[in-house]
Amino acid sequence: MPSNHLSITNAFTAYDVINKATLKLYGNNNSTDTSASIPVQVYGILGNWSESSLTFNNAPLPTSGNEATSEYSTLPFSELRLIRHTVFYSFVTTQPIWVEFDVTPWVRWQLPQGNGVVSFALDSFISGYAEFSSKEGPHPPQLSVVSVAATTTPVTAPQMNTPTTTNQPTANQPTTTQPVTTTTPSSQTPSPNNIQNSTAKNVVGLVVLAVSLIFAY
Amino acid sequence: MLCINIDNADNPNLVTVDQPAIADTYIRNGSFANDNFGSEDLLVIDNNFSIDVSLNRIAYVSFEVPGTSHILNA
Repeated sequence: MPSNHLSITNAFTAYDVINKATLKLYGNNNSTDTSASIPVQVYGILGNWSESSLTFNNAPLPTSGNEATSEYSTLPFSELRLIRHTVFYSFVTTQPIWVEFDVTPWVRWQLPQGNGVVSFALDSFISGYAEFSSKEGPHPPQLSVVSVAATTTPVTAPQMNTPTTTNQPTANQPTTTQPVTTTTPSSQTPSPNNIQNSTAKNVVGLVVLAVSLIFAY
Repeated sequence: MLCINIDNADNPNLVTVDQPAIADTYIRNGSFANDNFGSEDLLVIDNNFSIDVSLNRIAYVSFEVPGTSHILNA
């Protein structure tokens, strides 16, 4: 029977609100200038791209003056907008760390438009060389999303679902108003032999009772 | 690897999902402008235009956020 609860199949995969979205990359500053912090810019990308075919000549590229405003929706498709400016003062050579970028506004805006896919580009706006683990490396980039799960109240009528899921015989269900047609033989139900035996015993009992009553007279 | 944590401290319905990238690569300018680096285990960002435009590298990364179908269909 259709139920409102059926639309929510997993408490952890239905979001009402995205509280926070954080882009996490694992890597380090590999600049020859070891004292340099690397100022990294994060861009949001609209449109699709393939990691097996993306090149400098076909990629959406950062351009000057493309800082994102609070209203992204005017962006043309396949454009790329700066959404975060971050300088890693502690981002030093030879010590890989997890670096995080708050990308909440972009993810909130992008999710309804991008089939649940969000894309980012990262570059440095001052000379500096940084390496991060890719998804082929030991520490794949992560998008950490904190959200309020959709109203995930447990199923309120578990007894309705129990018989179908446990595959138990339902012939004895007391709440059933419709007469149950127990045409399918079940090993759980009393066998016909047992039923006949019990009725036979009753008949014998009645006969004994009748005979004893006759004798009493 | 999908990590799911439930933060019960403040809000029992607050859920954190760490989703790994579904695609990532970097691009490189100059003589590498037609090369693809999608299968490498590194993402590189570099900006040394003053030295050599071929050193310029930009990283790209993409994620699929689970459980957004009801948002998409809203």
